[in-house]
Order: sequence, then C-alpha cells, then structure tokens
Amino acid sequence: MDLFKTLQQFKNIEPDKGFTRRSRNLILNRGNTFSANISRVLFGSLETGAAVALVGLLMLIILGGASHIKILEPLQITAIDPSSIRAEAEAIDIQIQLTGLNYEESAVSESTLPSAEPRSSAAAAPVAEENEKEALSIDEALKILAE
Amino acid sequence: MKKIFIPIIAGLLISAASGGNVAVAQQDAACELSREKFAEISGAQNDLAPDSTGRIREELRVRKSLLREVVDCATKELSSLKSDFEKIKSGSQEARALQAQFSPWFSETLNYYALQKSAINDLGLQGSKDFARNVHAWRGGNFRPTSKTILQFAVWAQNQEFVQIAQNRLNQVKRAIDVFGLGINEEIREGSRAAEIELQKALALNRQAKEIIRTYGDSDEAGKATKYSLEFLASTYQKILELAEKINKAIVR
Repeated sequence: MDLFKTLQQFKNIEPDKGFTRRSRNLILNRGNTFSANISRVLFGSLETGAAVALVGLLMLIILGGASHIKILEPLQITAIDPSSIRAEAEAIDIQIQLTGLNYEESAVSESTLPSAEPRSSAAAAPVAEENEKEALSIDEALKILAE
Repeated sequence: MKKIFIPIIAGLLISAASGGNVAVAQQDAACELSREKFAEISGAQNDLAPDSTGRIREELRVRKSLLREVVDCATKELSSLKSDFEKIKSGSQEARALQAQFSPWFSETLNYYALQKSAINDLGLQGSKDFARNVHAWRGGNFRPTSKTILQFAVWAQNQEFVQIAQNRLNQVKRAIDVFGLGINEEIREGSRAAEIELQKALALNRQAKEIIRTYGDSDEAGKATKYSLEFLASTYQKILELAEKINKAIVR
C-alpha cells in the first residue's frame, strides 16, 4: 500500500525551475553558437594566411631585394627583347625608304615635264609626233591656251 | 595604319606632282587633255583668212571649250587630292590641328575654279588667252606649293606614329633599367644617355618639319627635316638595341 502511494506521487515530480530555464536557453541558442564558431574559424584562417603572406614578403625583401620581385619581370623583359626592338627599327627603315622614294618620284615627275615651248628644229619632229599621242597636264594645257 | 597611309601618300603624291603626266593618267577619261584636241586651235587658225570674223569666232569657240575642259580637270584633280587628304587619320593632336588648318583651302580652291569657269562665257579672244595665263600663274603661286605642303604634311603625319612608338620604347627600356637596379652600371647609363640624345635630335627635326609645314614654308626643307628626323629615329633604335643587349648581359650575370 505504501509502495502504491509512493509510486502515484512520482506523477507530481517536476524539474527545478532554474534547471528548466538554463536548459531552454541552451537549446534555443544552439544555432547562434554554430555561426559564431564558423566566423571564428574563418577569421582564424585569414589571420594565418595574412601571417604567411607577410612572412613570404619579408623573406623576398630580405633575400632578393624589392627590385627583384619576379612579378614585374615579364613586362620589363619584353621591353628589352631585341627581336621586338629590331622589328620596330625595321619599320622605321621601310618608312625611310618609302619617304625617299616619294621624294624621288616627285622630283622626277617635275623634272621630266615636257616643255611647252615650241620646237623649231628638225630634230624635234619625231619627239613632237610622239608627244601628239600623249596627254597634256593641266599646266601645259593652260600654257598653250595662253599663247 | 601604314597600310592605310601608303595609298593616301601615293594619291597625294600624284596630285602634288600636278602638272605631271602621271596626274593626267590618273584622271578619268573625260579629263584627258590630249594634244590632238589642242591642235584644233591651229586648225581653226588655218581654215580661214587671218582677219576673217569667222576664223576669230571659230578659234574663240575652240579656246573656250578647251578652257572649260581644263578647269573641269583642275577641279577633278583637286577633288581627288581632297579625298586623299580626308583619309589621313592621325592619333597625333598636332597632326589633327594641321589637318584642320589645311582643310579650308580645298573649299576655297574649289570656289576659285567654279568662279573661273563661270567667267569663261564672257571672254573674248585675247581675254581667253589672259584667262589661261592668270589661271596658270595662280596655280604656280597657290595650287602647286600648297599641294606640295599637303604632301609633306601627309608624310609627317604618318611619321608621328613612329616617333611615338620610339619614345615609348625608350621609356620602357629606362623603366627596365630601374626595375633591375642597373642604374649603377656605367656602361648601361651611358647607353641610355646616347639613345636619349639621338631621340632628342629626331624630335627636334620633327618639330622643325612641322613648323615649316604649318607656316607653308619651303616644302623641300620640310621634306629634308622629315627625312633626317626619321634617320635619327633609326639611329635611336640602333642605340636602344645596343642598350638592350647590355641590359640582357647584365641580368644574366
């Protein structure tokens, strides 16, 4: 009998109020704790990475000097590449030749203008016959029309 | 760029050598001033008695017709020159400024020819001869020298690209000397100085050529300055090449 009564009293057992509150708080804050942990891990990795990078940079400066940073070299090596310099030099040489040819052609065109002066000698006859087939320049035509 | 410029210069050259048979050959068939056509003047003179009104009228008709043809040819010649001139596209601001300076000359000259052509109808026999003499003199004093200057301008404008490339190249080489810490090498420092001296000579002559062109000075002088400027540019490259070899040796060491 006494045992039966005792067993029935078990239904009225309740946890301590302080324990209930603490347990509830722990369960509800579980998500926040997880994200806080991720941030901590990430921050930690960044710290480590930055430290490694700084050490690397310091080693470069100590061992090779700032002017020998390999990342700058390809650009500078291209600048002193003899084949690209030679290619630019050749382009200039071609331009000099072209300019020279232009002047020569211009000079020849002017110096070989057939004279519009009348030819009186007999030797001029074949030349005149040949010229009859040729076209006149604008200035030659104007000279003839002015006479 | 060069591919664009070469035909332009060739075109300008043909026009600038104006008066030459090359120019005539380039004009279209309608613009061919054959000697046969001009022989018609003497034909008209011989057909009738020297003092007859008919002879004078016929000679005048032939002369006026030929004058119209010549002025049309001159207009076509100018239009062709204008078309080539407008194809010049330079990245240099100075070249663009010069191009803007020369541009109005084309419209002024076209107006001149239009005005001259409109006056032909009213000419008498002696007037037609004076007209031809005046147009010929005008071309000698205006058209020919200006078109020569424009040819020099085309060559000069083309060279600006080469000048710019050479300047950039020397600057890059100088930066490389700094980056590799070779400024302390006496041989390299001296090589850099020598290349700079050659480049400065090229730049001075380039400026001189531009000034002659801008002021419509002696186009032969402008041509010489342009040519020498290019030659100094070539010797700049020779110095840069020697310098680059010295730098490469120093880096390997």
